[in-house]
This record gives sequence, C-alpha cells and structure tokens, in this order.
Amino acid sequence: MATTSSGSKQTPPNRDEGSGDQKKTDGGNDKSQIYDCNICFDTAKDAVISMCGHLFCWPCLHQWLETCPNRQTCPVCKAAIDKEVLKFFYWPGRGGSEIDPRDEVPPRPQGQRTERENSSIPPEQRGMFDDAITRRSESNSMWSLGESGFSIGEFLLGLFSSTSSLGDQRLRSGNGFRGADYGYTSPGGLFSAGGAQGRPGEAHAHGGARFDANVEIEDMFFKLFLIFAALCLFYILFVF
Amino acid sequence: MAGLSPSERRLQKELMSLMKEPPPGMEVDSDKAEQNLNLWTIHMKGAEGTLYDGEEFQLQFKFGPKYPFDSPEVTFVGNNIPVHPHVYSNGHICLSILTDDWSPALSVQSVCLSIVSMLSSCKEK
Repeated sequence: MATTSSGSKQTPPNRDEGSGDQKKTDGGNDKSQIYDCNICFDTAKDAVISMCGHLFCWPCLHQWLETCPNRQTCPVCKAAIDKEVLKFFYWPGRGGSEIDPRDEVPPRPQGQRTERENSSIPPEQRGMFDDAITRRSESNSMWSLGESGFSIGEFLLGLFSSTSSLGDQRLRSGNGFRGADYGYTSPGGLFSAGGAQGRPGEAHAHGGARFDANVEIEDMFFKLFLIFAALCLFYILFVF
Repeated sequence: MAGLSPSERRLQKELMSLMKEPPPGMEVDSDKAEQNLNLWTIHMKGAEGTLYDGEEFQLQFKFGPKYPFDSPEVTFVGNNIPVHPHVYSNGHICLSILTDDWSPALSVQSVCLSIVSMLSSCKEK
C-alpha cells in the first residue's frame, strides 16, 4: 500500500454526478468510476437511478430504504425516494445480471407507460351511466330555465325539446318505455318553476345510484308516480 | 480484495482515496487503519484564519459492521480536544450528520470536512 501521492488526477470516489463529468474531461484513468454506486462506491450492480438522478446498486439502495423505513430519502440529496418509482439501468459487462449486448453506451431508460385504468362497470351499464349523466345535465338546464324567470310557454317548449331528446336516448339504450321519460322530466321542470332548491341534488344522487337493481325498481315506481302527478297537473292546467 | 464484506470493501476504497488525495490539513494514520480497518485515526489541523489556526487535533473513527448504513462513531481523542460549543471535553461531537442526518453517501472525508467547517464557523471560544 503506497502512501505517496502518485500524482494521478483521480478524484475520490465520493462525489456526485457533477464531479463525475469533470473526471471524464480530465481523462481519468478509471472511466467506469462515473458509474459508481453512491453507497458502496463500487461500480453499480443492478443499477437504479432515483427520480432525483442519483445512481445506486439496487441491493445498496434497498438496504438503505429498509434501514430507515420512516425516512425514505435519497442518500445524496435527501429528496423523497420511492422504491416503486426508479429507473432501472442496464449496461453490458459492468456487473449485474442483465447483460445488454447491443451497445457500449448504456441505453436510455424507457419512458413511463401505464395502462389505462379499467372501469369495473360492464359496458351495457356504462351506457346507462352516460345516459344518466346526460339526463342530469338536461334536467339541470331545466333548473336554470326555471330560475332565470319562468313563463308557461318557455316551460312547455323546454319540456318538449328535452323530453323528445331524452326519448331518443332511452330508445338507444334499449329502454322503450317512453312514458317514463315524459314523467321523469316534466315534473323536474315543474319543480324548478316552483323554486324547490333541493331538487337538483336529489336528481344527482338518483343518477349516480342507478346501477343497483333495487334502486332501479324504486326508480321506476318513482317515475310512475311522477307520470301520475304530471297528468294531474296537466289536467289542472288545461281543464281549469 | 476478495473475501471482504461490503463494509470492508468500502472502507478499503475510502482509505486508498484518503491516502492518495488527502484533503488539505488532514492525514490518515494509514498503518493503524490497515491493522484494524474498523478503527481509524485522522490527524487534523485547524483551518487557517480561524480560531483553531495552528492547532492540531486527532479524530477517531469507529465503524460498525453495518457501515455505511449506520454512521461511524466519531470523537476527538488525544491531549488536545478543541474548545467548541459542540464538542464536549471528553471529545464527543454534537453534529447531526453523525446521528439522525447520516446518509450512506457520506464518507470519512466528507465527515472530516464537516467537522473542520464546524470548528471554523466558531467566532469565540
């Protein structure tokens, strides 16, 4: 073990990426040192790079994260570090089990790609869900109509247009019960005309809970009741 | 270097580096360190232009088997213990990176620099 300085321009192994680059330009005699793990100071084995950009052996980093489970920080810069969010690095002949024979230059890490989240709702019910949303927005437009100032003519016009479009939607989603749709929307308009502020929220909840079979039956009874109510109202309006 | 534990491998690397390129004012007692890789003595000079200019100290590093995941035990030893608010008369050093803020990316060299820096920032003894 020589104690005299040999005059070689070799920086100590404890340095970050910045000085690593400097060594490269200095023409350092051990180029692989820039691939040193920041924990064991050896060439990184099964190399991983943290999101803050620091290189480690996977076993070293894993051991460090196990050592302090409540303080998961990068050993170099103390940034928060997540075991699940790391870049894995492969290069040929520099330790590690994954040997990539393609290039001497380490390939760039792959971009992050995640699968689209799969909805748990079956497609036929999803159609109904969309329908429910559209209907909700339709009935909301009815509320605003009611709030901005109400006239019988406007109301009937709005009622007619929204019910006819809803009827189309219902036919598309396979429910041909047109009467129910008339019943569902027309009282909406009437309620808003009367200024009942609690209704939109209720309609909202109703739309969201439609996947439950029991709720659907309940809903149908509700609709029937509304048809009845609507007919009564029409009777009152037109007869008197 | 075959047959060494990861901790010993790293200590060996650090020792070689310190011997090849010692930071200004520091010298590792290489004979002692080679005899026992887990117990090092470092001779340190007070930085120029500070209260400790011209003084010499000895630092002792004790490494456990879990180094570098566990911090080394670092104390001033010998007959000249620096007079400093964060250094007790028994040589114990109160420095966060030696306990809670230890990181395995720190090294003997960086700890030595931190201690010199800590001494140098002292305005009055």
